[in-house]
Amino acid sequence: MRSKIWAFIGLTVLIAGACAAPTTSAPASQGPKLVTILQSAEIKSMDPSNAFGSHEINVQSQVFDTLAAIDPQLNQLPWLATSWTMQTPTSWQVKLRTGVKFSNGDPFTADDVVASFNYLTRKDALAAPNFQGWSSVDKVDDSTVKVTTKAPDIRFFGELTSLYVMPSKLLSSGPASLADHPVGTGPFTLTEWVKGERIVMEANPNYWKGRPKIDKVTWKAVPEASARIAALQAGQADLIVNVPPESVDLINSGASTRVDPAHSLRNITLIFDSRVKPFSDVRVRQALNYAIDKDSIIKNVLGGRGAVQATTSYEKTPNHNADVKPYAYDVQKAKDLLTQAGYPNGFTVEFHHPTGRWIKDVEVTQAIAGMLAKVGVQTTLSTGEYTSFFNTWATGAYKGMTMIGTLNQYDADQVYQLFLYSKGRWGAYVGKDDKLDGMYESQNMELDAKKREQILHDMESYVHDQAYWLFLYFQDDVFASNKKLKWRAPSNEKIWMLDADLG
Amino acid sequence: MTIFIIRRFLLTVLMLFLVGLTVFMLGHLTGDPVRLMVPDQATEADIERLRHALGLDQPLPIQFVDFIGNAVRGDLGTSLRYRQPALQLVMERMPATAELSAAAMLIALVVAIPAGIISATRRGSWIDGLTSVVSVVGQSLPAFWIGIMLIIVFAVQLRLLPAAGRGDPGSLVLPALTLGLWPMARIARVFRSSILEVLHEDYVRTAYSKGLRERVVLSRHVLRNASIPVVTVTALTFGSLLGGTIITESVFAWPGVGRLALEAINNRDFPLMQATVFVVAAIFVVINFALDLVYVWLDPRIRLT
Repeated sequence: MRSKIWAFIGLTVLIAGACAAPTTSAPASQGPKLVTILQSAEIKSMDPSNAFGSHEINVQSQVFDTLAAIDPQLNQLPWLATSWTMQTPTSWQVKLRTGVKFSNGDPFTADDVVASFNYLTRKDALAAPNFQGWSSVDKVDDSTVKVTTKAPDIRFFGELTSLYVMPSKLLSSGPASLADHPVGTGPFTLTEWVKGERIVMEANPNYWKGRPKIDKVTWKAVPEASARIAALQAGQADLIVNVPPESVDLINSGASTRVDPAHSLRNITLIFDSRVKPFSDVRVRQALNYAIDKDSIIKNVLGGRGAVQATTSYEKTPNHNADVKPYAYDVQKAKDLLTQAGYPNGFTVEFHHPTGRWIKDVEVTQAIAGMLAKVGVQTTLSTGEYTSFFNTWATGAYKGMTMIGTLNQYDADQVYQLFLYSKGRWGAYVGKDDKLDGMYESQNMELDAKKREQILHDMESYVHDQAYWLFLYFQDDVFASNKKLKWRAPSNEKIWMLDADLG
Repeated sequence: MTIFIIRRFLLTVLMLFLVGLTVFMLGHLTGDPVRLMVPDQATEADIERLRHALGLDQPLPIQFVDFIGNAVRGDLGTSLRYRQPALQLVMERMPATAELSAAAMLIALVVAIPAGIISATRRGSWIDGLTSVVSVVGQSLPAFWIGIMLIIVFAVQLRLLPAAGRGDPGSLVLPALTLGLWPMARIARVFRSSILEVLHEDYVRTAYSKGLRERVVLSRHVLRNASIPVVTVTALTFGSLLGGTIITESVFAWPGVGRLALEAINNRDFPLMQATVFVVAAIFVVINFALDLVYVWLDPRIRLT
């Protein structure tokens, strides 16, 4: 019995001893403003040329600036570049901001832009494909560079937002050190990095837009959503990502916590294999679009966090066609169309989807399968872990229909380039549509913004009518934060801390 | 003894080779990570270029021979994601896992040993009943549930301990408790039944009939003989804890080997997956070896040949 008591005492001492431990963040109204952010995955490298996913970009972009930027409300802004003008169809002059300094004191000049471009596009850099349209960047003078493009580049802005500026001196002497000791012109400078535990950064007092109001930001990786929520509730975190729909009410009912949803550019859609029957028939594709109650899925599966999709781009994406309306939920019409297409009793089709990649992807899939069954379409569900799912999908091997999510932020044509243009990366699933290919190619060469916008509007309404996709929804990105934190929840998954405040 | 060590060593090499082959084949079965690593805009040419730069375009047998050849020289390759030596990454995570495992084991032993003794010697008492119930519950509740419950009670409600992460000393308590519960239950049960078995031995009856007090019989004759299965269970459990405990480390965001392994699998980071499994397998072998030596000490009848 005595040993038992001792065991009990030992355990109690162990717990009590730890009770004196301070909490990790203490947002006081006086004193330094500290913010702790919990993301779901760990940061491997601070080298922007090897950023892997938005969680790494989030941390890196506090330290490094780009030439142009997109803010949380998707406004497109000049950044380290103040202006860019096309001089010939394949050459641009880019004016750079003057008086900007790196955190090591070096001035920012055209040399840094040239060196950064060369570094970001080297052979084994993950960022290299972001600059497909550009062939070279040359210095004109200290505050001007000339960009030469391979062809007329209508996505010039997108490339500007991908060009993270690193100091040329560091790039020529030891780029390897960048991964651990980043030096940039950004709003924060990295002060401590305990690998696997935390990254700590402090406000850059000389930031060219003015010193950030937050003094110190700590980034941690907590993969489990429930553990992130617990840390927020316990006051040990101020901002967390990827809140599951079922936890929204719990967080909103907390005295000091709040959910911050943002309509996201992440569109979740089903891509038909239109090459072969039954989806080679436009009536079948339309029928399935009518058969799905998108509003119900958003309300009942996603907890109301999402926006119905009418066509390929989000309302805030440049060149989006706002006149296209979503397919209504109309079971009778769906049945009629299937009958006209020769399938009065429906058919059976493969339905591929990943698991755990997008919010409630499996539950949404099951809801869709149930709705399709009501119009006679039986689905054979094929679930895959994302990597193997995606590798197979990319080869064009999937039949039937496949759930895909994509981000579409710079321009409405982005998804066409990837998914709908027959020569695009995954364009094979559309089959052959000369009209669509023609429209895509002509907007790609069109330098007149008005005319190009018209072509893109036509493309969006054409693809809606052709129903190459089963249009579903844009999923909301759900963040949650300490009520004292003033920040803007982003629509492009990118956390901005430079204008955030606490108190 | 020498023959024993040599034979054990050769078996270890064979086992590591087989483990390496299995991990290699399973990892590569589901395709490579290159498509996930490049941005959406990448063309097939970009993908091929990166695949070539990472050496993933070589035929699988050649990749495997290269891997084994380098492994023999102590080079387990470079992580595809971290772009750092894989072995170094695993060893960097080892202290966190070792710290967590040791704390969990300590908690487990401190509770399980007295609980085992009491429930065996006071068989049928309420303490015995309680120990049985707690043991069954402790072995059957999933770690993620226990972890989340502990977080809710101690971090959210009582605000006594950090909810997740590693840093201040308090951050060790909840993950160690979560992790320690299972070995605690297991060791208590094994110890109890082992003691019960020894209590029926002739020499124990003899010791009692000599008039020795219960305390002396227990400490001199019973516990030492009953502890062999406990040592086995403890050592093997400790070995598997050192391999990283994926669930506990994920729930508590503990930067250990288990979480590293999980990430390596998700990212199809082959060299890192292989390095993790190698290190874990090696630890297991060393622990097994040490265990054999401990047996000899505990029971002189056991001989190493």
